[in-house]
Amino acid sequence: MRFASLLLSLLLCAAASGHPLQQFGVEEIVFAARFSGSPTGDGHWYANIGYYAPDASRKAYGKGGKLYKLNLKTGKLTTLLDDPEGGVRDPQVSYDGGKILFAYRKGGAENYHLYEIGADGAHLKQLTDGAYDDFEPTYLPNGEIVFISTRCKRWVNCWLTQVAIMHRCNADGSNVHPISSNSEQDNTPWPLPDGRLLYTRWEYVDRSQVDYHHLWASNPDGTSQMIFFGNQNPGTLMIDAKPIPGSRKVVAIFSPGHGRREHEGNIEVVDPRGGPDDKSYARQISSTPDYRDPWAFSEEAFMAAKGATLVTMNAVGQTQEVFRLPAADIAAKLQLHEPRPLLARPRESVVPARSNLAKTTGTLILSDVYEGRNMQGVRPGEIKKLLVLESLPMPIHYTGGMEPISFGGTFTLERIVGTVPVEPDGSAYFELPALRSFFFVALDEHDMSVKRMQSFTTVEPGESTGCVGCHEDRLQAPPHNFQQPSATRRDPSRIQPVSDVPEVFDFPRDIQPILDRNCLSCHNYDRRAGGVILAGDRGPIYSHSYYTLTIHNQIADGRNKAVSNYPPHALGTSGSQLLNKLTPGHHGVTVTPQELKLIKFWIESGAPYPGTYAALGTGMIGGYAENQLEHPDANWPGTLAATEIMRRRCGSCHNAKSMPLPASASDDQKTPPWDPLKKVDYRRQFSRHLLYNLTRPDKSMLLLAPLSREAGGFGLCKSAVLSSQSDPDYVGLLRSINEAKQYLDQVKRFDMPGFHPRDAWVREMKRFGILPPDANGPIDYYAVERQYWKSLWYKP
Amino acid sequence: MVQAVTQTLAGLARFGKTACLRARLGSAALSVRHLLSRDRQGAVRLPSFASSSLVLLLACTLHAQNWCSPAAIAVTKDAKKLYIGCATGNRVEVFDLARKEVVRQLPMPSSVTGLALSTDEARLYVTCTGVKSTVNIAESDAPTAAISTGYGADSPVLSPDGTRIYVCNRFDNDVAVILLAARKEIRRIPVVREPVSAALTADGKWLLVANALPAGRSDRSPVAAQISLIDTSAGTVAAHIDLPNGSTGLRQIRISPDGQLAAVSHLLSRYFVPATQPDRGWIQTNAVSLIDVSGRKLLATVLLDEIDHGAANPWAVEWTGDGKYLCVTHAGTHELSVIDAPALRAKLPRATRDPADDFSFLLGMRKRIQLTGKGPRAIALNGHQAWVASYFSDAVESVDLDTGAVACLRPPQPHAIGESLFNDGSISFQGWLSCASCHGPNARVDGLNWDLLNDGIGDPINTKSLLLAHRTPPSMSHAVRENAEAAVRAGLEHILFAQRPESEAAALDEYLKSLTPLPSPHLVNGRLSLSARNGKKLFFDRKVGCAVCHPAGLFTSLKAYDVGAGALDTPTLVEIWRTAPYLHDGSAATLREVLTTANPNDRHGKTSHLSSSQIDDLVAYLESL
Repeated sequence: MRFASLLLSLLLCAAASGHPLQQFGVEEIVFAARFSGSPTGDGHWYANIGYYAPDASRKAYGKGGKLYKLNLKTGKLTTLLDDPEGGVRDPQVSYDGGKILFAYRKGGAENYHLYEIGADGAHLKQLTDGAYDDFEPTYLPNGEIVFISTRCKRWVNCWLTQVAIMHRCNADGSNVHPISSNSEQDNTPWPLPDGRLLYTRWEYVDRSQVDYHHLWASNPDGTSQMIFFGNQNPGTLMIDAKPIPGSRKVVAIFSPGHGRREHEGNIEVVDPRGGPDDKSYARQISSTPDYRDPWAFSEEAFMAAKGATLVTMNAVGQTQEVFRLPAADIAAKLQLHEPRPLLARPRESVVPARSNLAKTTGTLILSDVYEGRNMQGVRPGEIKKLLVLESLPMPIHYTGGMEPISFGGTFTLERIVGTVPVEPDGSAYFELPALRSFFFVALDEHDMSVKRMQSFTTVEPGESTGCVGCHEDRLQAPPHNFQQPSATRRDPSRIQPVSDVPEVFDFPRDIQPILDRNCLSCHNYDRRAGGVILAGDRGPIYSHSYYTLTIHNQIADGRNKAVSNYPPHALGTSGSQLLNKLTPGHHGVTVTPQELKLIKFWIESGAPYPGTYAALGTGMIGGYAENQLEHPDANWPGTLAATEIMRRRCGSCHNAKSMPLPASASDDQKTPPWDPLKKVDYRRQFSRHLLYNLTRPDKSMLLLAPLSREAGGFGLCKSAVLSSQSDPDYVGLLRSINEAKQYLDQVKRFDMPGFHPRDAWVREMKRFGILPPDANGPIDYYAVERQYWKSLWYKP
Repeated sequence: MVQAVTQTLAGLARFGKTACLRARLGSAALSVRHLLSRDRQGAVRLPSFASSSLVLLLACTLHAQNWCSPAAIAVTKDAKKLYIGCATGNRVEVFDLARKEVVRQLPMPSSVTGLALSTDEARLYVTCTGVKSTVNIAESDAPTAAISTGYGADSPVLSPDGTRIYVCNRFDNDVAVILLAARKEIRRIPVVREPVSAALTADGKWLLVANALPAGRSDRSPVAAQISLIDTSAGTVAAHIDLPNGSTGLRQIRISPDGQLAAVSHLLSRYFVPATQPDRGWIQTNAVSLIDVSGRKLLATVLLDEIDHGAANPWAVEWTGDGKYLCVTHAGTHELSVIDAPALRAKLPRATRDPADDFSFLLGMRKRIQLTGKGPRAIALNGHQAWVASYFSDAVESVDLDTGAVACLRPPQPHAIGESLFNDGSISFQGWLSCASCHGPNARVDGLNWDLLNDGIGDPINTKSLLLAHRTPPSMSHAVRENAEAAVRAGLEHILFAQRPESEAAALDEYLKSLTPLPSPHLVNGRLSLSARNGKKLFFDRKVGCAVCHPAGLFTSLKAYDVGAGALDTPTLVEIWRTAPYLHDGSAATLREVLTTANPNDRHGKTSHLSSSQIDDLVAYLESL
């Protein structure tokens, strides 16, 4: 019934008034047309600005952009701007309807910048400039502009393009300053009627890289950043969200999975009243996920872009094509983007500044750390402090995975900033440096983890803000039976650095020596106690010890999994079996307190392998570029010979059907590090990461396992396959491993003497002003990187 | 800026869905324009009204336009007539619902606070407030008699047999029992503090009285206002029912038709956390509490706010006769909540969160209806029809409770702009709170401590009355604002989290400057009692030293002193009888404590040498100011 009447109203309306939007006072629509296919076939929603990491001449943006104005009444199409080599995107109409704010990359230029143009096409005015991209702008009701920009100098942690986060500037483009500290992408900020900004935040602190890009809201100065919808429900890119007039709801694109190019997806209506976590408060409107840039006139009337067309849509997703780009545009593969009514509209409420840009810190009040979801089992008084960690921005990245930062765990280096006390009543009150991405681990009296955040928080300069507890229920007010948080009776705590631990852990440098001292007497290549080797010998990407600790589940981190808000004590030190092995109960192991401390804080900081992003894309045999495995060893003589040997000598047991072996050091057997393995998978046990020893080739499991005990091997195979080290096949295999070692010695890993960061890392460090333009020669990459992330700290 | 707001409102009006909304937004735009033109003309004294204030009533009568300011309405059983009690108009209007106009005006001796219609509708009882309030009786729509009662009479409640009427004497802190046949008050029953609303069980045995404010010190939790349960046959309070920590600003209490529940509207102030943000009820939440009448206990408190949409200043409460709906007006956000009462009652036992802290509890069982008028404080029901009258615009609207459809019977005419803004939660961020949320509808106190950011976190300070604020600079106990003008503007920005035009701040100044003290209820025929006269001598005794810092006139030297808790601005003592608890941190429940236990070292004047009766005298004097 409802369906029928809606359909009827849509049709009647169209028939009676000439065009379906007339009832909303709309005569003209402004929109962008541009080449929106990727020049490289890249499907990521954000990969359409700048260049690709390995090769700055390879561009992510397409060429060909126009800004159009369409008169719905007369059908007249006016070209406001046409640049066949440039790009046009994200028009936003001024409150009086007289101007259009948009992002424009001039033909031949590298970067998008903010421009204004009169609704009549006159007075094109450039607002921002510089060597970074500024785009997705929106007017604020006080006259200023919020947009996203790559001025944040960071790269996507799991792709080879740059990150843009929210910035704000004056109406004339001056006074540009960041209001976000995200390490990943912010998108499509837009004011809500109450004056807040609604935007998309992509984040993955200790959880899946491809599942958390949902709707957030903040004040227009970036204060009170808060989830709006979706953050506990993995999957779906929620983007292009805008308020629906006459309603408290918003319309948004729900782009399936990890999102599609140009934000294509379903049109959905979100009712925020049910809180951020209840999926049933989102209602799908469109019937297919191929729409873009929805605009709501009411809860029952929408406009959107689809391919080269402009459509209207009713409350049940029925559409009507209103306009189609001219044939020449379609032939040039332009599509229609971001249609907006060219209409005066009411200003939203103006939220007064809650930040003070002259300050360098903000304060956070935590009322009761015990109050929150999934906190069952935490004893009152158990939590003594919060460990403050900082998600460090990344200066370059080359692929979709996290290697070699971790094996299936963190993508991001997590800097140990220090701790702040939690009072007996569960309250904490502390100062945080402004505009940095912090997250917290609640620690007990033994510095063991009680709860981990798996997201990040930012305070703006001078912001004072409060939260109820850990993973508080956003639908809940501060519980009425609370008392004054006792922490507020004193001055805010300053973060106390953790003594005698590095800011950023580096496994070979900081942890391996502890394993060498305490574990290696049993877990070496001779005794291999429990089948476990904890020697630091290098495999094709990781050290044997690092890989072993990971696949034996000795470290409880969030992994690259779409799971949030773990129960107490599940993540970090309390959930990490490694700590049980560092007690006398484990064969008399007695680590020193300092060694234990180092292990603990290494675990809490995400248990990374390298302590530097310079390690990315380097020092690997069979590393990944743009998710593609690289096989430098494919045609080495030793590899070809070894493949033949393995087929002949090992193939009866190890074949495609059972216990397969890698063909060479670069063969990942289709199990890249970012792909979580099942618990029982022979590919874990017979992984290249264990079989190849590129420090001491003769200690490779590839040799030791089939070699008879008598000959000094482990004799692990059913029958001793190799009875002697002089067996020509043993020699052949050893030769291939030696070739791999020679290759690694040549390309070098971050923990090898003479290592030099990749050119692209150096290029970006120069672009960011960290390295001088003429820098060459040896680089202290740990120091330079520290200088890099410190350069991003907010300075008034 | 005003122009921008005007444009915005005009723009919104175009987008308004219903005729009512268009009218409301249009009138708001008009009123801002109005304000602008006045500003440009120079000094204009904006009209200001306040209920329960005799002095202000005088100002009202001087005003050219004879506004009504509805404080109460009643509807006849045939749904043909509304009686509208006018707080500033000193009259009852008889509003013909068919003709949509006032057909008769019943003049009243002072500000009307409440109405009660006899079961046979032959008589209308009207409380008119004052130092000596009256209960006026009208028969056949004509005033016939007046019965004297106490100070600040409100909320007349008839006994089922029609022989008695109960009246809340707000400033006497008691309930009067009046025998109608004899037209005489026969008893006063002391309650807790500022009783403002009462409801009687159907059998007439139990009277539930809402005390507007918490009593007692405010520096330790819990702090909450109470419901006094009066045994009408004994004439005594049988029990006090505690509301949840932070309950203040109680406005109206009504018993469900089945007699099981009493619903009372109030604020649930989150005073215990620093006022860093209003979002998600961090400062104020707005609630209705349900009292288990026979169990004499609180059943539940339910938030009216939603996650990003506050419901500031709940006021009028009514149940439909069939128990289907519970209606609550939001005087601050100009809305009516129509709650599916059976659904609410059914959900309470299976609530997963405490509904007192849950912004989603009412989802799916409540219609939230935007009204045209400003400050809806009065509601009357008949069947599934509601009539709502709005205090600051005299609007009368009818609401179909089943469909939520609103019809404007009398279009809004905004007036008392400054006071209206003071009570307006819709100007705050997301509608969480108004100035009145902490200062009450008349710019006084809420009995709570607040930890504001203006003097640093960690120092909760008792809410000060705004009476004389503009004449007693600086503002705030720690003198963090140079004067009240600065404080008003800071309050808009840092408490309401709103950027508002200067004209609105100026209107708020004008309203606050127009406030005048109410006479103390402790005066005897307008004069000091004997004890107070003795106390006055002590007050001005140089050895005691009160007047050194609190000299006559404003009773403040406008300077800061350290009386044992660091340097604090000296507050005025005018109206100190109604601003408990005392001291900047609310640590003294009574003035006697201020002078005795809270002054161990004689730093706050020399009081240690005074006898107990001298202390009594000094307290009597202070309470008379």
